[in-house]
Amino acid sequence: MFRALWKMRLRKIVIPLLLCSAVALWNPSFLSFAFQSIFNTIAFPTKNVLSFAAYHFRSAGSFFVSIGAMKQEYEKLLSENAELRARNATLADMERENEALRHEIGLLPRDRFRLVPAEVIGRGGSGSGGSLILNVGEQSGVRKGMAVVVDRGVFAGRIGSVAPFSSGVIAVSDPESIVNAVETATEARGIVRGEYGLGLVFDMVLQSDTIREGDEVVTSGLGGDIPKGLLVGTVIRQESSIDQLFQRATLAFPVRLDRTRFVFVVVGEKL
Amino acid sequence: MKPILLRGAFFFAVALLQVSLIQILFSEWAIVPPLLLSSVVSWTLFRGFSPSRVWAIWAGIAIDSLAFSRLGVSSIEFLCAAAIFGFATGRVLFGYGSMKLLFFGFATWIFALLFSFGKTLLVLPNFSERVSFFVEFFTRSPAVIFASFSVSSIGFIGVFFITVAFERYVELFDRVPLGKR
Repeated sequence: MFRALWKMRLRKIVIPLLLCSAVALWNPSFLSFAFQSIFNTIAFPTKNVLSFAAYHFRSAGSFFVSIGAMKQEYEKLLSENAELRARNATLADMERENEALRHEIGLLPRDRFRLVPAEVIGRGGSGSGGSLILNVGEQSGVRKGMAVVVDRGVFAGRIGSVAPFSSGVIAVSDPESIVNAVETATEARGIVRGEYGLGLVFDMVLQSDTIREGDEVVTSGLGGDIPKGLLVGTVIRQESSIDQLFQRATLAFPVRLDRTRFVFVVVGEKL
Repeated sequence: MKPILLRGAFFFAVALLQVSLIQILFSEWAIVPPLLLSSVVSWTLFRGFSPSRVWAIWAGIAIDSLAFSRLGVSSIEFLCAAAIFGFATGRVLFGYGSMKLLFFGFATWIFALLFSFGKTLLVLPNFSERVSFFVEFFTRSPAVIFASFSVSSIGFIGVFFITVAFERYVELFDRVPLGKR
């Protein structure tokens, strides 16, 4: 019976599945690069047009959906505006203090990078914050491993693959993303990795170090092309790892990557 | 024009739509409506498993390359879908009733969800993280999950008719001209 089933159907399923699994496990870079370069070069103009249309459809849709909530939002914003104007005066002084502190702990000011602006023209994965596809590639000086930032100072991910006119970003929330990071207040060091689009984890922090809720975690600049001082997230919950050897913390990411349209690729630092 | 080129271009175009249009439009949803998976399933329902294997692999290569993802993963997903839905070819679909198609749309969405979970389970290192992933996934936005399920199921009907209409069109090129028989 098994032999009959094998002849009928199983062989037709198992052999191609094994072949695809072998390619997925082996992950041959030359093959991926060839397909990505050719396909993305062919599709580049269409991708731009489609993504442009998608952003306009989405903004139109969200406008109609949110029209009921706009009045409440307006009133809330009025009160917030008054409060923020009051705080603005205080912040001006704090900004000067912040610059001095950043200088003290050796972090780069966040506007001293050479940035290439880019638009997100596609996405990979499903609701996972997985990968972003940018409309800049080798032709714009983008290389594999470069950091990608949002709002000029928030770390969004790093370039994973590059084609002539487009590139793929491994988002910080992707499980494949691992970045060395440091907490600004206590200088606790560890790694930040993605939790399949659901959040970020600041992991592998020594038990002797201190992690405090509300503190900012920034890139440490160790290893790779990611400069130090890029904001990764804010600590919202601290806990011990399962083996009790390290501490870990859940981070709140300051921006919504699934809504982000424009990002910047850090191609270097200004001299 | 050769049918193989037309079919290849069709699945490539659908992959492009999935990456650049659908993924952006529905990026905030828990499960993005699986347009390409729906078209592969539709093709399988119409033609059967054996001929759809090639197109499942091709569609997977196209979307993995366009999305800069790991090559082969989507091909596995589409092959599995083709193998499962291939059993229904010719057995269930004597007529393409909208309720039957709605059922297949629902089944396609469930398949996409399960495959997504499967990938997550492989990635997450321990049991507690896996449990917390499921808890967060389902408590995050039930309304969004319901919307995703509804749009995907209803959208499947449209995708099915477009795929079948296209396949009927391609059949014209399959026929040998009268003078050459």
